[in-house]
Amino acid sequence: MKVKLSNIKISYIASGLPQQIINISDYEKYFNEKEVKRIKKSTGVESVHVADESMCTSDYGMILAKHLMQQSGLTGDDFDGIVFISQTPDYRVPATSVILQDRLGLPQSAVAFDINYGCSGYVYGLYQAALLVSSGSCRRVLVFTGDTQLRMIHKQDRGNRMVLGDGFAVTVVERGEQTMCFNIHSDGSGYQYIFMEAGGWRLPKSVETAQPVMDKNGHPRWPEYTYMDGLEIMNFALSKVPSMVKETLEYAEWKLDDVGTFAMHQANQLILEFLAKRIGVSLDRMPIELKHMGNTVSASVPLMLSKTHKELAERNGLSKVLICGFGVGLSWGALTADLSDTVIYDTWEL
Amino acid sequence: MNEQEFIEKLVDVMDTEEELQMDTVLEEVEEWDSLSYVSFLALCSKVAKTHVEPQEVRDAKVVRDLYQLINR
Repeated sequence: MKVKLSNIKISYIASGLPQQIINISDYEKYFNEKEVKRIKKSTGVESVHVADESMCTSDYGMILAKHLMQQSGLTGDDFDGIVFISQTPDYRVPATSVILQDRLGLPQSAVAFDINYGCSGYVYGLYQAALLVSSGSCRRVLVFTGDTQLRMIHKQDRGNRMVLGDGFAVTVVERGEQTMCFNIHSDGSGYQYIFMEAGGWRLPKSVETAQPVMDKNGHPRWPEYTYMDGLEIMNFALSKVPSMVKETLEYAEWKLDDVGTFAMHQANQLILEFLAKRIGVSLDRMPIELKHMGNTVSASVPLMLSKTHKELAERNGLSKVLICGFGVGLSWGALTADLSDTVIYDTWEL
Repeated sequence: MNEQEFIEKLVDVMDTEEELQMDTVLEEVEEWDSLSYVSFLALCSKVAKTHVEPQEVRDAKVVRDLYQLINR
């Protein structure tokens, strides 16, 4: 699916990290020391933040959005839409977005809905918000992305525990002068590659689902926790992302050299370095920012922008930005945006 | 690159202490994971004679399949 949406802009980006930190080296006490060092070196992740046990994703969303309102001077009344992108909602019913509508003081005339996506979620959130604003349905939409995902990773799932971290972001999309190009793809045949099998209606939680089962490679997987087939996901990302980037640039009529910043989902260092080579760009135009926060799924792009926006602005890297996400579903998407007038805040401690 | 040189490079890529042979089954090597997979593709970018697609590496079953990809 490709579409150009006009009369919009991304006006604010704010992101935050929970205070508690896990050093990846600490896992040497529980897992094979050599393997921990190898994973750390390849992924580039040295520490991650983890959400407080007493907090839900929406609690962090509320703190972040309130902080953004204080800084920007906006109030709840200034928004008429909220999109909540997360895989860790407060409840199965109702949608978390509608709870946030009330807690943030958005008017009852606001539209509120959730989207269940992970690493491609930022693209999905911006797409939905852009549709709402471009169509005239809304004036200003709050897009929340983020997860308390470490709770969904089993304590013995060493691969995922050592690269994933908790992080959150809010982005404001409103009426403006821009046209943004979106390019989104889906392939549900790979739904089992990132998968929490138990807990829905297909396989309700039970005594059996609390026990580990073997995956096709003979490794244990826990049906009540998120499972990722790393090889398949890597194969998917490396196969699909370079061609999608090329396709999106052609659609936007941008040349590779025009792009100031390739704002990629921060999966891990190894994959980003490989993608940069395959796409044909240097790493100064494809920033990698995950050393002290890991892969924060749908919040990874705004968190990266919060960490690097000053350097990117100094070299005029924000006027043509390609944002790209890929992951669960399988789903992958990209969009083009001008962030040169966007207020991007430094990362806040939550 | 001959077979011996290739095995040495693959041991580096996987950072494994296992003794690799040309008929070693990749799935049986614990370190043949997503990180080794990308590192191998990166090695292909540097030394392979032709372009190697990610899916071709994913389809490899034994060490010899990887050797043939990098040398074809």
